[in-house]
Amino acid sequence: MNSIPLFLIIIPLFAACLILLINFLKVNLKLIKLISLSSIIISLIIVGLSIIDILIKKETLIYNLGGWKEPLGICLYMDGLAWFSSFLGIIIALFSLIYSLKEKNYQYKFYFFFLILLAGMQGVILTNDIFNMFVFFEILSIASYILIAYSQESRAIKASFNYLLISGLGMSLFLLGIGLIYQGCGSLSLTQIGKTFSIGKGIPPFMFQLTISLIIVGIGIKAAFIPLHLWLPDAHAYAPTPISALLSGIIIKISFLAIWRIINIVEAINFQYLFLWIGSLTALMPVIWALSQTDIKKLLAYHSVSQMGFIIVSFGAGSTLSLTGSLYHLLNHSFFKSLLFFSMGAVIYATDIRDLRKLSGLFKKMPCVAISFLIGALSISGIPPFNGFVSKTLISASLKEHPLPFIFIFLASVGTVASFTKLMMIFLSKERIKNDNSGNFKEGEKAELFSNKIKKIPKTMVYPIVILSIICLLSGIFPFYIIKGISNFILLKDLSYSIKIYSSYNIEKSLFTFILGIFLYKFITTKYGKRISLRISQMELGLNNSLLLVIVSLIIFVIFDNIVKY
Amino acid sequence: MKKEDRSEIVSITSRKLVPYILLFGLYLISYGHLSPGGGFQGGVVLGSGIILLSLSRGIFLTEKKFSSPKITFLEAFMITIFILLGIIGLIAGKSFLGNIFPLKKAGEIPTAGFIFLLNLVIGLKVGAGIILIFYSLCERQEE
Repeated sequence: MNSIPLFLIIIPLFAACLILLINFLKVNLKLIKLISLSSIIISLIIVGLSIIDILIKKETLIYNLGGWKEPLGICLYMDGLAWFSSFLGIIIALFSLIYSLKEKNYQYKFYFFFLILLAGMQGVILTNDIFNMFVFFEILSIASYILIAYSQESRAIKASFNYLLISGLGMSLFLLGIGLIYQGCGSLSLTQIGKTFSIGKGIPPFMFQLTISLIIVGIGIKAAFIPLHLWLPDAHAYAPTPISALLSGIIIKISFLAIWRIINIVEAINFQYLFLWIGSLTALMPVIWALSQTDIKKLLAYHSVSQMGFIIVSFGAGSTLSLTGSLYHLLNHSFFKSLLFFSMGAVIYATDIRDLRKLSGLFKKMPCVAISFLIGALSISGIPPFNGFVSKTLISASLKEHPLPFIFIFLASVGTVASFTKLMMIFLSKERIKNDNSGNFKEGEKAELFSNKIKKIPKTMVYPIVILSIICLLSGIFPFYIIKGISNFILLKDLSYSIKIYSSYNIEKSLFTFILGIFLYKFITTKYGKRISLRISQMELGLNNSLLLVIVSLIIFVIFDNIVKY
Repeated sequence: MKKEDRSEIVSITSRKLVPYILLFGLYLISYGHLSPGGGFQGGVVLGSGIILLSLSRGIFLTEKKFSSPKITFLEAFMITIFILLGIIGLIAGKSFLGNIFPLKKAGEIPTAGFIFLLNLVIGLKVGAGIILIFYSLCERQEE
């Protein structure tokens, strides 16, 4: 028994309660910040120490809560995959917390819910009991509803409420699935479920299909693949910036990894094939919407969905190479997406403008942020030598046997280049507020913007941005250690063939993508392209439709197996 | 609520009832490990006692006795105590939330180790939470 998994959950939880308690003593906010920062740093040290047990000795750390052993009690498991996601979660949380330190609006409640979010996240990763996973998912969701609506703007509250309704539906589907599992095998521990819950051991095929579909759709709402993604762009865009980075960077991936674990445990391999198609659609569709966005954070939020598609499609392909690519892209995406959110948050902090048509010529005013953002944008577009290039190469190399998803992924990359060129223009273009006649500005707004001085960005905001951009560069230049580490220590499989990442074919392919992307950008800035993107941006589905789509996707998940057979 | 709206009968009955409701809540909490009930259920009963009081006597009078900051403090304090109890088990060489008290035969006084303590903490926390939810709902109406 090893208490490392336990400490990762209770340290943030205890720190959160402590914050709530010492708030009654009318203490300075600095003490609260210190407590939350130190709790995350202690967690980071603990998870760093456990690298010896997990990755070098290849053990699984097990902790029995209350001293009750496996089939009766609740266990916490920490294997390679759990270590990987837990480590990633704590790092992104640390950066988000450092980023939020100097923001004046954040009172003690922000730090309280932040730590509760972290504790819920660690719980979802580490638990080995499916009902306990449900409870931690609820803790995580409640914290995130409140944090999304933290700014108390009406659109943030609306986004948070939409998320609450859709996610509530999803969680009840998940609970129904748990009930069916308990009825089928009489246990809630994932190890026991793996032993007894399969078609070969007396579970009727339809029952099996229904149960796993309920669980996948239930958690899938948080993982935000198509068609369950409709809540995400609003919720991630209108949340406070550190929370957007945390939600986009890690929470949606934690949810996907929970699906990953459940599919692996019950060996529902037929679902992986469905994920190949869902993933390729998820990669392509949101890019079209992202191209038509004018809100800088909403554009990034659509790209979160799209990049989740890359991760899901390579999970669906199922080979060791593609699983490695999937986890590598997951790692990279959490780094560059939080980098992109942080830098856009810094732009919003400095200028108070969210519309990219109104922003221009910011390179001179914030060069540090601009260069870091450029690195993040190049990473997400898959340009060498940044980390996105490596993982996208791995993903497209593993999709050679599936031509149609390969094309979808390629088109999605082109769209990504185009929309990040569009976003990059707020730094690179010349300052044109004074003589802008495009009609984007309301009366009087232009003069106000021009006279408005840009606020200075505090250093606590700049450090995470710079460090993350260095990480993006380093993990792109030295990919082999990470690829080896992921395949050998986390997936516990040898990558049998060697891949050449920086071959001339791959570099030419990414150059080709880049050029096509620039052409696409040129097209959407023409008159005709602008009209199309305006039309697309008006085609947003509302809450009713997204609730309906949850039901539709549940039906698809249940019956697709029979369709494939005939 | 205006004074003439209030019925004498309701007021007196609920005033007589509230102590018994609170007692019943405490009973549910303290016998949670032996009979139906437990921390959460007992806490809800405790909370509903106070809610009954504020429905019959008016929220203003009730908030004088059970003021909102006090109850908030109770809630925050109890959750911290709960985690501390878990950590004490860890320090004593057992696991998180492991029992630290000696176990005796069924029927003798510390029957279930420290489950009574956990139930008490949860009961007070849930009761405080229920009261706070009620208070915040009422505040919205008065605005």
